Amino acid sequence: MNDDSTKTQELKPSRIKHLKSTKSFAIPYLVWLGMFLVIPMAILIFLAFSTYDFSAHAEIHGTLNNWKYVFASSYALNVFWPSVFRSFYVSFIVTIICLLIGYPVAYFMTKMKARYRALVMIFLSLPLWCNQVLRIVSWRTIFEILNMNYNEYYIFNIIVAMVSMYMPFMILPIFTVLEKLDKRVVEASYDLGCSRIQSFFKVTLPLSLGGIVSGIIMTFLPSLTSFEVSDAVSYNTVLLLGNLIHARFHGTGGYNIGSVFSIITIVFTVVGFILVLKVDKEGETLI
Amino acid sequence: MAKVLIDLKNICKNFGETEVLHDFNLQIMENEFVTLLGPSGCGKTTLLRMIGGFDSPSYGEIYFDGKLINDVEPNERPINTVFQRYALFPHLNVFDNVAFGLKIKKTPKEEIQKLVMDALKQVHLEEYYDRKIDSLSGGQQQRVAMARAIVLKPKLLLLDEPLAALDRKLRQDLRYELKDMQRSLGITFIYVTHDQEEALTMSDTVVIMNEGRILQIGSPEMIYNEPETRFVANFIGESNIVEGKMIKDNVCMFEGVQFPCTYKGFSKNEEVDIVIRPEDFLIVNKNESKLTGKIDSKTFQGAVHEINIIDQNGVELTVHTTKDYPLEMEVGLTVDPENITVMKKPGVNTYSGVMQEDGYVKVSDDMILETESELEEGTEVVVRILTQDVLLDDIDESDFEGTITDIKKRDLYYDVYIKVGENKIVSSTSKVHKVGEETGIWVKKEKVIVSVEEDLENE
Repeated sequence: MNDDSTKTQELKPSRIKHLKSTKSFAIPYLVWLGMFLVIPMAILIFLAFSTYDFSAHAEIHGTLNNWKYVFASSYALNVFWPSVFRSFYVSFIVTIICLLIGYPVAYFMTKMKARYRALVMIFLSLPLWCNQVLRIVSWRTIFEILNMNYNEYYIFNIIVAMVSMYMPFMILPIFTVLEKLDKRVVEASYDLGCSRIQSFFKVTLPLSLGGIVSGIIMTFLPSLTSFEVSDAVSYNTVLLLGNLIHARFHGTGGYNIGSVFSIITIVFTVVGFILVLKVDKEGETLI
Repeated sequence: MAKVLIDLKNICKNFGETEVLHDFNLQIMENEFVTLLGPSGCGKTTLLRMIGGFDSPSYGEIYFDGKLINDVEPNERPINTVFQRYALFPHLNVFDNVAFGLKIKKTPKEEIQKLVMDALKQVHLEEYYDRKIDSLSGGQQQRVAMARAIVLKPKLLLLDEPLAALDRKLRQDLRYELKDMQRSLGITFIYVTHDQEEALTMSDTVVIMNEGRILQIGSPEMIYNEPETRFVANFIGESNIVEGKMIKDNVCMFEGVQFPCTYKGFSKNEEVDIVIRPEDFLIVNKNESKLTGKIDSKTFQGAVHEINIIDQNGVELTVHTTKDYPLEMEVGLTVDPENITVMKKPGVNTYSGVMQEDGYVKVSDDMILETESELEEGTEVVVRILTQDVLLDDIDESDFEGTITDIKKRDLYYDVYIKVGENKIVSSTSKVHKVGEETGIWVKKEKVIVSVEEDLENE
């Protein structure tokens, strides 16, 4: 066994040198990150743990009351946590539908001739060229025309609008992974006796898992935090997590509670990303 | 007598306009180690993929063990493949990669355990069974790919450039391992490579291919010692190829000097190509041979000195010797009769014609050829078409037609003589035809060589 691995022999020092010389290119983005991510986060945490609410006469001292309110008040019990639950429920359904429709689309896109694939790609990305708010509002109009503008349809309407909104984010990462998949590996499975269906479940599907998880995160998280869809399609009657946060920051005097909501949402998001990184270690499927 | 395992009959393959395989016929015996050797794009991988079932021929039949398998799915063929760059399953470890095919076949668990470990032992990887694929080196991955294929005990193993991605030393070691494995397993191997050394060291039979055709089939020794065409001589090892002619049986002449040789059956003074391997030239005193020259340059190559000699006619000849000679030295060259290889020149049809509109050339009323020439209308030209480029087809699919007047059998093909009006044309084809048959004839326009020449020697 004197085989030397070709992979581990790649020389590293030159790469490190190269990284050093290009390090300064990252500065603009780091500044941006600092101004619009780190500082706001600090403010959010400060608001969540204090009484300060930007009003002139506010006292400033640390408190856990905001957290008690969110976790232990009757508001929390009757409004906040049911909304969180509703958000998860809606996002879950949206994600499942996107996956069930999106995977086959991505799969067949890889089988298409380049010309038709480009066409499908255009159809997929075309809606993204149109403002999101406009797209949501047009869904409201569609439901009005269909005479589905009633209470009992609202959850359904929200799900339909969200599916249309986030479908590309499910299809694209799956497509990227399937596209990169070595066709010879699939042929190898035929060669070893797999039928086409066996080959799909034993090779193609496990090898595209990274794309599926990315797609799930890319649709689940935005659906979880979206407020504008419910706002427009259900006239703000179906409360989701996003709507609650939106209301707190939009109205008056809700900054402290809103910050707690936001931090809870951020925790969900971070947990989601940790899950992605567990499956997709090189981050190749994230766009 | 060994049994025919694979029988390829009249295989043609087109990808769109491009013809990848042209009327390909080949038989492969049981337990044979056959190598398909040729430059990239010669159709060898396509052929292998057809036998594996990943491509289907545009025309022709593939028989396995006497059964037509054109429409059999790859998973139903008792054939396994070692893919280029291995195509291992990255989501499975070494054991599960090798066990993959057995699990599909629903082999009992204990048996899988035993068979997989046996296969891994055979490729010296038994300790690596729980390793991930991407933690293995190229050579180890290659071995896993071998184990994965042989564990299913196929009758035929296809290997698509399995060693191409490895470094030189490892490649040499694995060659012997592969050959040993083939012997001990008693499996037929079809091996595709563009590396002539690999082909010569491992194979029982080498099939040399170029542009979708077989140029020569034979044992490695035969291919090396008796190349039949310039292409083969050039592709297999280094060689000196010079123009010459056959004076009479067993005497040839090149560089103005007559040499005894072992070839006969040529017509008197027939022009031929002469091949002499660099190691077959012997350097002697300059007055001991009529073929003399001056040492122009030399390089030391380890086992031999490569010496370039400019001979009395100004032609450069390459000689390999174990002895060193000084530069500028005048030397004589001799060669043993059995080391001279005489090759027939490829058959050419030559005609005179007149350019017409749009690149057409009129040879006679019955023979008008489409060409890529941009010469002016009315120009008198000479047209040459290699006999192997003359294709015979149904009359309504062809450029012109004629009657077959004679057929001569060559080694790998037939020379078919066809009368077209007042002209005759010769086609080298592997399809069987009959004398007296009417046939359509067509030539791809890029294969027609048009030139303007003052004197045309009459055919």
